[in-house]
Amino acid sequence: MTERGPVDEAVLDVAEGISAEPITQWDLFVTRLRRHRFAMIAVFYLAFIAFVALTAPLFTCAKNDTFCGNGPIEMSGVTTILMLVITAGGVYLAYTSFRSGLRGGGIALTLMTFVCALLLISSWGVIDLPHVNHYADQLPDESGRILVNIAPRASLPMGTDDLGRDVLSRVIHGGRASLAVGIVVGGLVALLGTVIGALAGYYPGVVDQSLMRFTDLVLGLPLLPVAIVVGRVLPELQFLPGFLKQGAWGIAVLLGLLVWGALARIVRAEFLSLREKEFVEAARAAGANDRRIIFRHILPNAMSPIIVQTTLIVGTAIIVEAALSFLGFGVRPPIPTWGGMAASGAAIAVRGFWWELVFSASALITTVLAINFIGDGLRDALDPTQTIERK
Amino acid sequence: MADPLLNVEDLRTYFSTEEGVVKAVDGVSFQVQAGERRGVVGESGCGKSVTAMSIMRLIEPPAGEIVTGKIEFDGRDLLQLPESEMQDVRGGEIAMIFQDPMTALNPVYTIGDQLMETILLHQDVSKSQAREIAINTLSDVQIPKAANVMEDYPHQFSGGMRQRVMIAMGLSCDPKLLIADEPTTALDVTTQAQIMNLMLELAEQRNTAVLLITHDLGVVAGFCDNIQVMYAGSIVERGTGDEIFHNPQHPYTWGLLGSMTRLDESQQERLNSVRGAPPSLINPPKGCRFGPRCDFATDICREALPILHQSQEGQKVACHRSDELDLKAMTVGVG
Repeated sequence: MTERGPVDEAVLDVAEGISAEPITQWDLFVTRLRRHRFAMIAVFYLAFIAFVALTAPLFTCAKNDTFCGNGPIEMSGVTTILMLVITAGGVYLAYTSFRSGLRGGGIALTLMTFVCALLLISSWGVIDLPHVNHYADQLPDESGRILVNIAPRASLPMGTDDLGRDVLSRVIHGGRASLAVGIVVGGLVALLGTVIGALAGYYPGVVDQSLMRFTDLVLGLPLLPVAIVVGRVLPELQFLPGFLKQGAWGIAVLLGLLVWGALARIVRAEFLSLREKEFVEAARAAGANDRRIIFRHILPNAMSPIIVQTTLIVGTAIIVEAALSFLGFGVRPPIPTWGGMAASGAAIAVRGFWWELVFSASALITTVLAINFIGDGLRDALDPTQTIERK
Repeated sequence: MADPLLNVEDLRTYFSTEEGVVKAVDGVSFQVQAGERRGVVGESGCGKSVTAMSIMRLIEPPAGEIVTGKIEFDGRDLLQLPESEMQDVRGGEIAMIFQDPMTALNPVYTIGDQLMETILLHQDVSKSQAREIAINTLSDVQIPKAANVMEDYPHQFSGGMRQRVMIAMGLSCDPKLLIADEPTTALDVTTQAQIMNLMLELAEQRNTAVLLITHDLGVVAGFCDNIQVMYAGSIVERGTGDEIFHNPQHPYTWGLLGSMTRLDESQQERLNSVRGAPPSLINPPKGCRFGPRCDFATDICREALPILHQSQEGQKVACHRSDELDLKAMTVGVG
């Protein structure tokens, strides 16, 4: 066993009757992840981006109105659910952080949770929060003229675009498209890739062959052209519910259905090797059925590559969504996305108005980088052959 | 004699490979009585484990297949049972202990989770009752502080401790038959003896029959009522421990015994070995399968396959010349 040190000492302590805090797998995982500095920074950066994007209605105006006024924040149903999830997750994470002595992270998470809770309460109209209205989408001056292509300054940190819209406000709202893609693609890929890969890896022969040939087919589809064509007809499909026709959700589902192939192959490979392990044979000899063996005995042992690969695929999917929007086939204007803003920003950047392009592209790059760093950190932290002494 | 607990008749398990059909088990018949300790010995690849896997129906098509045969257990033909009923038999009525305790436990679950899973699968008990049974069984296999150990992961255990856990898992549902497939091969010698003693003691308390599969003659010597020797997919000799060890009738058994280090007999200059290697199971040699390696082979051995028959000495043996040869009187290796 490569795990020496803490684990062995804990066992020794127990054996000698000394009461010691048992070290769980989760503790080891957290300790290893914390040692990966870039991943930790990335976690907090991504949390910040997600938080800002989700709470965008608080300090920007969602509509094209110049003035939102004060009053209860309007939140969509999806946002409300996400905020609830974040609040609950924040409470739990803050609690575990404090328990395992991560004081700094605990305080940060507590603050975040507190703000989330505040926003939730305000969205129900219980309390009023003031809107900061100078981030409104379109900015008229005193004489009513719309101020286009204004360079960044104190009151407008990212300037305005060629239609006079505040770039900061749009970058924040654009994050929601990327976030939607990340969440939906992550979920769909984890589900489809895992189930298809698991079935193919566990049942040799016909099931394996047909599932993997189907996977080859999907992997063989050129991602961008297919996404362009299907994305183009998406709004015209009558049977689709409304939210899939407009905005980022439809694109997100489409991408999710196209990019699970790599994960399916990895899961299949894991299953092929794990199903021959003696503990699987032992589980069968103990009377476990196939479903139990697949989901209870093999899948938990294959979780590390699934988590890591899904994270990396999410990063790719966000780039592809941005590329689609950049090309004009993704989310339609005027809904802001980073890719779409980069496209319109590129058109005016040649005239010297660089800010829309630079800020939207930076947001995209840093977010995807952060996701990749997290994937990297997770891979290191979940690798059982890794020693804890890693720098 | 009462009806046997396990009755295996003419079992043939074949594996299809690119080179041809491997006849891993080719016409094996035997019976195990309730509470009996039966040893199965033979060298690697002679079909011991495949026999055990066939009884549990763990041979997976399309690679391997039980071609013919009957496996009667407690009055039911296991080969005719639907898979769902077979799942109740596995672990519930027939338990199996595997060779390598280091890999036979799932690394992501605690010892307690894994023990309780088996109990909950086969017994109609609540979670807390299952926990109690699990703790009791762990104490039975002499694991100290069983209640604390329930929360531990397999990697926190030594090989001997893990094999104790495996035995606890095997016995937790009071099976009628315990198949132990080389349970001590991966352990060191001192632990081997402890584990064997423990397993057989517990089996006796619960009147569980044991089918002990091993290539270690020393292990079966002390523990088994009856021993059957397998070679190239079939049984070549069967008898009581005394008969096999003190009066082997088959040249293969005789050779195996001669290649064993023994402390209770006079020192030999050199340890003997059975010359040659086991035959291919795809194209077994004509006649007696041991013929090409046998020092006593004659024409008939190269022509006809000997069948298992009663020998003059009492045990059953599959050798044409068993009655004329006096192996006991011969020094191994000279013949």
